[in-house]
Amino acid sequence: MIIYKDEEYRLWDAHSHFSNLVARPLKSFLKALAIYEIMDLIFANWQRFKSISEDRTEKNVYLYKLILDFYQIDKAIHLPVFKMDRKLSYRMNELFPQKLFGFGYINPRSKKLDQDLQDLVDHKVYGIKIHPDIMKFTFKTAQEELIKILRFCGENKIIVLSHTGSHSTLKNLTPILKKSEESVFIIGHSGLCPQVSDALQVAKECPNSYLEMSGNPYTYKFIEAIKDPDIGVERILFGTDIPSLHPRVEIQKVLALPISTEEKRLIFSYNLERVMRDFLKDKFKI
Amino acid sequence: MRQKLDLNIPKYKIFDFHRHISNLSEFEQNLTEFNIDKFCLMPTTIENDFENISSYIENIKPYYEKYKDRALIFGALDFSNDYNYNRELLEKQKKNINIRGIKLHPDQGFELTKKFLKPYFHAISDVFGYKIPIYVHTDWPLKEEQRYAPDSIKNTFDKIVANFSDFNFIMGHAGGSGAYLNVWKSCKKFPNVYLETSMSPVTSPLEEVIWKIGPQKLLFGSNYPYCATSIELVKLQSLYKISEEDIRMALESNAEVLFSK
Repeated sequence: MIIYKDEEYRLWDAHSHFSNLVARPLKSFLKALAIYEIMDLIFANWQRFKSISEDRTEKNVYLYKLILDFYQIDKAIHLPVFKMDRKLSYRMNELFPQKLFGFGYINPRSKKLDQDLQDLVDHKVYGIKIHPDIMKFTFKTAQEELIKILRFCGENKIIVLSHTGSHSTLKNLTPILKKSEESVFIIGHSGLCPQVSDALQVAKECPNSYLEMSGNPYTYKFIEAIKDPDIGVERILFGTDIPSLHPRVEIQKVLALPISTEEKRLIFSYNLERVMRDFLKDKFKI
Repeated sequence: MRQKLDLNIPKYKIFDFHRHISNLSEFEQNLTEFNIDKFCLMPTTIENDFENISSYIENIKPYYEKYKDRALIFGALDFSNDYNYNRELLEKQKKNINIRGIKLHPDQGFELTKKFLKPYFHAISDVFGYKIPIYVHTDWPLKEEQRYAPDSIKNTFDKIVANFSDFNFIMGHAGGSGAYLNVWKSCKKFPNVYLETSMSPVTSPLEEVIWKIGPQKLLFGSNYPYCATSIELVKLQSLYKISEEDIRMALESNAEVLFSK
């Protein structure tokens, strides 16, 4: 919860990460993935959290929650960076089900795709993250698998979020979403700078898609999306991309929009809450 | 617990290194709201006038007339034409809108080779000498053959700087959305490189530039009206383990020093 110009805003973060890779010896590697302020926050609390739990995964859940609390984030979707981070998601769903929504991991290129999809159902995850670069696919080359995944996720009430903006062209996403209209798809980063116009076009054509704001600096494009009768403020979601981006900067992206307090509240939290309640139905227990 | 996040607009005058024109009254209001005194005006205007620089001159002229003491206008080249054409074009921009810098944008489709760029940089030096700064936008278009992976600074910006090292260069958007990591290395390799901060998505690479090279390298830019000035201001004010004085240099004085070189 933050206060800006005497108005209170709840923060529901649609895009954040943590990883079991976090360990003291890996600090130099992690600087490519995390901002220094967050790294220092993690390592300053390393010993203290070690005493909370000897279990590495559990300790990392507490460290991740510490970061969210530090930046006043009320609730957050956790997106696994690597496959091993599924366990982190599952564990946080057990420990803090009211605050942390750990998503699962699916690689469209997996040889055990059916088994991986069933794994999502077994663990009752709210959603999954896909990443064209890390998973080495594009929306064109993996079209068939993505349609299968999205249809499965639609049937089983699992939200799908994808990194967008680099490593795949967004224009190729439209036919996939049109063939899986029962799914809910979050366009992570809204296409960043290079593909922001394409992201808006996908959102216009596919009412089951949502624009997530993290990492995207183009305020004028979000104004355009809000004014567009085929998109609107209800389909824009706040995200921080913690620990890679600075949450204060990402929060300002919503505060800077020339919209009403109520509309800012929609982006900061109510839109995500509504999507989760409406789509996940009984699965969403908050 | 609730945290107040109200904006902290500096009392001192800000130098905005990257603006575009917009609606004139909104433009003026934005300058006042954020205490912006001097600013650089960049091509393009709202229309894509890289393809028609005469139209750029016409569009920007009212701003040049209104803000003669405050605006430093950047000009552009026409890469579809030769040395003579561009020399004349630069003379025209110098005469009509007193350009103080040149902006290169990857969308202009220039080749990243010394052979291709040489006549254009000759035209610049023949008209202005070497003191005129060159601003290079750093989000290169994504290519299918590279699986839409962003091009590295080493393969793009650094190549231009290495070939024309007599000029001062500004890395626009500090690497942009795809090549922002380790930008301090360009500053270390080339002492004539500065970084403009608008649209740079991550704070840590900017912190590294100050820690490893020095605070004189960062130039605050808003990229108004495409980006929100408050976001770009908050980004600099959120830099970690950076003194108020160093942030002030980026916001207030570094650009003045660069133009006085």
